[in-house]
Amino acid sequence: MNPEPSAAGWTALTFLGYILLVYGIAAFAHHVSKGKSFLKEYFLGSRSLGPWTLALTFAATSASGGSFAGFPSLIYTYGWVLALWIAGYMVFPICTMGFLGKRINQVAKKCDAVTLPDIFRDRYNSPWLGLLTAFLIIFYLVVYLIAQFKAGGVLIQTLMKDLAFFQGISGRLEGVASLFEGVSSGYLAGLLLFTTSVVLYTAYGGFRAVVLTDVMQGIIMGLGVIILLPLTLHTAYVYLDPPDLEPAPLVEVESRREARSEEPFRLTQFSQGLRKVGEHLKQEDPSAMSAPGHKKTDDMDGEDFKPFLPLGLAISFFFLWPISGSGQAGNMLRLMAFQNTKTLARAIFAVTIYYGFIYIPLVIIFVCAKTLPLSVEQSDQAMPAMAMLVAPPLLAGLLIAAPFAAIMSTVDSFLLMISSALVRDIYQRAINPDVSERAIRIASLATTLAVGFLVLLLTINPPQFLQDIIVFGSAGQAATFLGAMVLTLYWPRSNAAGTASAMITGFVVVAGLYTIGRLQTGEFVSWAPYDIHPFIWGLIGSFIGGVLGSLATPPPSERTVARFFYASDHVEPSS
Amino acid sequence: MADPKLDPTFRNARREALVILVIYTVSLLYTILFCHFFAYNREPETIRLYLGIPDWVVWGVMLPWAFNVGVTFWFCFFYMADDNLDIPPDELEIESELRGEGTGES
Repeated sequence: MNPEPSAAGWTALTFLGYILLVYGIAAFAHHVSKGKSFLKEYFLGSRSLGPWTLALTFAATSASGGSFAGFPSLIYTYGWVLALWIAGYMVFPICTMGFLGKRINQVAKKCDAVTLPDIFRDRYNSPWLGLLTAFLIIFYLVVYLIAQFKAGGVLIQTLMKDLAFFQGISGRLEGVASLFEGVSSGYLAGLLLFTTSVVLYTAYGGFRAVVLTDVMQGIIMGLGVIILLPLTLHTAYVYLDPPDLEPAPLVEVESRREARSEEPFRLTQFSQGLRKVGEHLKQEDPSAMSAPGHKKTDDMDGEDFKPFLPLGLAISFFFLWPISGSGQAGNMLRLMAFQNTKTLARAIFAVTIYYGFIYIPLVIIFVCAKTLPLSVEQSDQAMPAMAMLVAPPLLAGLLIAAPFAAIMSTVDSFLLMISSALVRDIYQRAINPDVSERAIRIASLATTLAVGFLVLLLTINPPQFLQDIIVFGSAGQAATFLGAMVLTLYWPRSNAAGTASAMITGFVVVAGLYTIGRLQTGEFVSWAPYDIHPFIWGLIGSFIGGVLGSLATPPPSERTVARFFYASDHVEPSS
Repeated sequence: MADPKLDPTFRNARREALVILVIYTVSLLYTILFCHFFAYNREPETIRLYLGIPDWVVWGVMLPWAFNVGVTFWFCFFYMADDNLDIPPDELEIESELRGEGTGES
């Protein structure tokens, strides 16, 4: 029996239900926004995020498609070493939310800031610094969006290629696809469906819709993993024989499995399943049990053997996840939108629990997958293949929707940030400060739509080295904004010139290392002196640039320092 | 000029940021050092399994992860000051005036 049509049907059903729910949420968000200040509501949800919404929007936006496609693929390939690779997430919430959260929220409220450039602009009374920030945000987010749009398009194409209505759309696009070399009509159809579904609800519902859909997407991701874990352990219990059992003929093996699958359910079957997995891997794939990890092939004997996670790289990743996460513009924006300190405290703890329940179980699930009879052509398919193997069809559809939810929750947030940079930071604050709220409303909707479809055009024929471009986008963003934001929030002596110097130095160092790497190898990889990730060089450069730039130029006025660093009874209005 | 009093929210946020740096550094050192000695290039027969999970994962990753959940709980609910982040109504006018001053600084 061929299970494909049934699986595709269930997947499509789940996907359609999911899209309908997203649009329902957008309509609700649009309804709630009536009667409120458009700018604050559309781009910042009127700063009304409670603990659960803050926690889940933060977690969902941080988890891009990689968490549910690339990460499982790596575990399936390399085994337990991925527990060390992801270990930085144990401190991710407290670092990314706790380090800047309280202070960025306070300063944003003082400045009445709606966007990140607003903070820099108003903290220093410097319109050109606001513009510089806006242009840098647009650059990084467009780069990032191209990669995410491609991932979304490919995912829809993979999930729906067997469905008649998708094949119909694909057939109509063959003429358009023929205009681009190496682009299939199926990919174009997937891209078009993805873009339409995300851009419309983002444009219509604004920040509140993005946050509420993030909450739903975060719940789907969390539930998906929590349900998949016991199903996987039970499947391992059924499929695997205890290692100390004598090998049996195939027929007997099958009868043993049949007998086990019909046993009454007991909780101990989970632990027995995991024990069997451990013993099997120890005997059959011992490299998956320790670091640095390598593929289960014969390549470890030759010169081509490359360890997956040498110690230096493990240190880099422990640094990269929590510290670079603090410097992502999308994360900073969410920290501007929560209500009060209690909200922040509860959200930090909730995200800590959430990540504990997502990442450790994911490692266990896909280590188990190494011992189960998965049919995968590429390790990237490990997630859907596991869902199909261990879960009933409707649940499998939900599990397969998890990576899609992760991509959507990242894309919608970034679309809105680009739109806010163009409408609020460039148009309203630099070109036409007297623009009416009605004009802003129309411009915001139109810009979100336009940016979405512009990125679609850029993604039709995406550039090579896409994964490396994503890494460049994340590392560059953190190197550019983290040092500048830390100095802005915590150093009274910092000024506009120093902050601009921090941003530009971080940007130039990361871009420079990538340019040297490109010249050396011909590929989009960075030069990494002393095997240290370019983000770390960029961050060091950014802090040095920020401090020197501030010290070399006149200090900020006493009144500016008093406004942001002194108790309120020391701040005086201008005379 | 008298030494002005620092904003309590700023002072608390700075102190909390330093504590976070300490938590991060301790977590990094423990995890990396433990895994350096007990996770790398182990002979399979020396790896002890706890419920099928290698010993170095349990002690080097899961234990500090669980410990960090506890530390985060302490930080969020016992250490983090409950600062008021809202602008008091009587200051709103001053803030509004300050935002509109428009004197660029370099």
